[in-house]
Amino acid sequence: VKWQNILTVYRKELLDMVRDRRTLYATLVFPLVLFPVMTTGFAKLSEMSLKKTRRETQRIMLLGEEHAPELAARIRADQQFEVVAPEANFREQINEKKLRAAVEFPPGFAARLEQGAPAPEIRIYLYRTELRSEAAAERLETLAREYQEQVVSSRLARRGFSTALLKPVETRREDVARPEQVAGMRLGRLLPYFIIVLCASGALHPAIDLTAGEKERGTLETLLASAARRIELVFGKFLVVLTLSLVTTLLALASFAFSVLHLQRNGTGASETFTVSAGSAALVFALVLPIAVLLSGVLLALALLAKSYKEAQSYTGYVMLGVLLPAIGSVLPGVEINPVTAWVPILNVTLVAQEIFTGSFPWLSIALVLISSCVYAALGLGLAAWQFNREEVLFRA
Amino acid sequence: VNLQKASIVFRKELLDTLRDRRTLISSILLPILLFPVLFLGFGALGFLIVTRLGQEKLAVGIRGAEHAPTLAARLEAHPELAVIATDQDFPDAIRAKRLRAVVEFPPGFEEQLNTRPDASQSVILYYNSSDLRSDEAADDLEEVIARFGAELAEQRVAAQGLPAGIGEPFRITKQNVATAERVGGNILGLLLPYFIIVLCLTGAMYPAMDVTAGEKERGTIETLLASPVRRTDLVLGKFLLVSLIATVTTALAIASFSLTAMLGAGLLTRISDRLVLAISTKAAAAVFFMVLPLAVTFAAGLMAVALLARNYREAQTYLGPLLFVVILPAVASLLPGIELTPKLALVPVLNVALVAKEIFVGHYPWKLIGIIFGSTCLYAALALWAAVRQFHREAVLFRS
Repeated sequence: VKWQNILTVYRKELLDMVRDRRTLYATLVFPLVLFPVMTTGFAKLSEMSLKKTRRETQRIMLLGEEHAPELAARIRADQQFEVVAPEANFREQINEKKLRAAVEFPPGFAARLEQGAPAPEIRIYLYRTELRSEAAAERLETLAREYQEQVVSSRLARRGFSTALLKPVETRREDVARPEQVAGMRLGRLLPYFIIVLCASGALHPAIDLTAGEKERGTLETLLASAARRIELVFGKFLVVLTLSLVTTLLALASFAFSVLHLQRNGTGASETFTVSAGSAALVFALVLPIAVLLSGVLLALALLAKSYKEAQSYTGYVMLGVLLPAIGSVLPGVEINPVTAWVPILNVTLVAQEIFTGSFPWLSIALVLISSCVYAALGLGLAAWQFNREEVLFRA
Repeated sequence: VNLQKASIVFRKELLDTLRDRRTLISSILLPILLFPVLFLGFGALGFLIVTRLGQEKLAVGIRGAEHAPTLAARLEAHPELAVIATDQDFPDAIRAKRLRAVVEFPPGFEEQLNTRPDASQSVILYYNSSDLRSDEAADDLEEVIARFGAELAEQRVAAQGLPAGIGEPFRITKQNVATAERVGGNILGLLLPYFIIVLCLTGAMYPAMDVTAGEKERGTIETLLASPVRRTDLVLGKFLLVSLIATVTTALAIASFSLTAMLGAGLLTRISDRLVLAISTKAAAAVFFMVLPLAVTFAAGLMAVALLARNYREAQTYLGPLLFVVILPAVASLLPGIELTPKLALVPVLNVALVAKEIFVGHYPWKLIGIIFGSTCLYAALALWAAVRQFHREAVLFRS
């Protein structure tokens, strides 16, 4: 293997790719523009919708209000509600979302409370799974509970006890997570997934262009007839694919970081700031590198099977699906890095990257993941080299 | 416009498309298979996670166990918790997930509780909010402690001769009055409109590229233009084909979902017996009817853009970003605060997604449905006009 030849192939192919202005738009400029627009636009939109939901008053109905004047007054005083006159068809109105919830007080409610006799239940009618209805019912329940506590404490006070009699043990939760861990939990769970998908999509186009595209243009034979050996050709092409994959990923991440910073500075977005130390970033990069190698190798090998650009696209489509599935698996709750998942390609890197972003460094797992991904990367590269040595694949008609 | 010639073009393109395996996969196989696979896949995955979570014991620590012997013994006996020894730097252990949660009892905890009838003690639960398992462990610990407290309160009430119901003078119950159709429809409305719109778009994408850029790539567009068919008829024939494919994809997606939901109902009832995820024939037909003009808009719009490209590959680079532009309003329909209003009824894509949500819960806002159908038809007409105009521009047709 002559490095000189590899370098020549690399430079030639890279020049080719860079000269295709449309490729540049699609792989470089587009993610750079799209990411900030998407994230800021979406954050703005969800903030607006959240504000609107908060501002809204919810229409509710009180049935048998005269039976529980005290509690009803509490509910009427709450700013969240707009109380309308009782009607018999409240069930239909809740179904049609004209009414968010209704509360029914049983006859003699206040009188029985006064006597200390157990009063029958009050009912809150709601539309399950409907967000605003659930929120209204939640608030109504809280108001009723507050009232109940007041009744209980006055009853106990009359007998000379404090409310602590009924609440002997109080639990208080103390969160030991560092602020960056909480922020990392939000963004860090999705970020590794994005990185892997970006890696794959960055490698996709050049991998097809350098193999099936070359066949389509009829230039593959010329290239094979050159003085460079097969293995040198593969390496040159592979390095181009790897370069573009990494460049796409890094650019997209940079623009993503920029838009997150922008959002945080403007006070929208999360209250906790999400920061990644240089060391963590370098470590994640070291973990992603073998994945980029694996994806570049596999995509090259597969695209070479195709006779045309169009055919290559349908083959590589399945690879993208195969990449997406383990990456999505990592976002599911309950999936953690352990000696078994450390061997599942792609999933292992996303899981370990999640740990790193939330500020924990399970070194043993990191080492295991690094080793296993390097093995897979070597296999992917080997597959590409093997494919390039098969005449029946190169000259498939 | 000569309809007969347009129909000849249409039949020719239809034959072409049916012979293309790629189109068949993306427009017919994908919508049919997507829902059963998603349904089964996610069902199996969810089951796997739930059972696995149940099996693994959560490591927790107890500090000051000697102050609360009864409670500590109960925690040790808990089937889902494994109590392990802790030292001073337990917060680090929780952050590193070696421990999921730690409970701390103050000195004299149980002793104090037993001396006075209204004594109270507080317990601190240390957990890590960035770890789901930690939340779970803290919940488990809190549940045991709360039960201990409730029992103690009951004993105290009895010991003091107070009436048993003193702690709960009245009960509060929540009752769902929504029909099963509305509850299920609300869940469906979360994702289904989005899937239908995206499938409709991807279904139209390949045929739209094939009849424009694909024709240029194969070098057959010149031959076609030289035939005794007017440009407008050509566009119309091609447009009808792309619209047909988009419509078929949509119909298949809706039908496949309805069938999956029907057959999978047995599986779902095992998870929650009150959940009904079926869509009525009426709702399916209404949603299809609302997506129809959108499919036509997609068909014409995609053709107008794809014609700009010289070859298949270039067309793909143009249409990829377009996919994002369309998906974005569909995703926006998932935001909680967004409900259908007359203003939003004019926003393309978003309006159809929102009205589909309403239809799935069995709610038919007829006036808005009229506005949405009308405005989407208007957008479709605009897109078709753009496509026809593109086909009349030599600069676009023979770009090199």
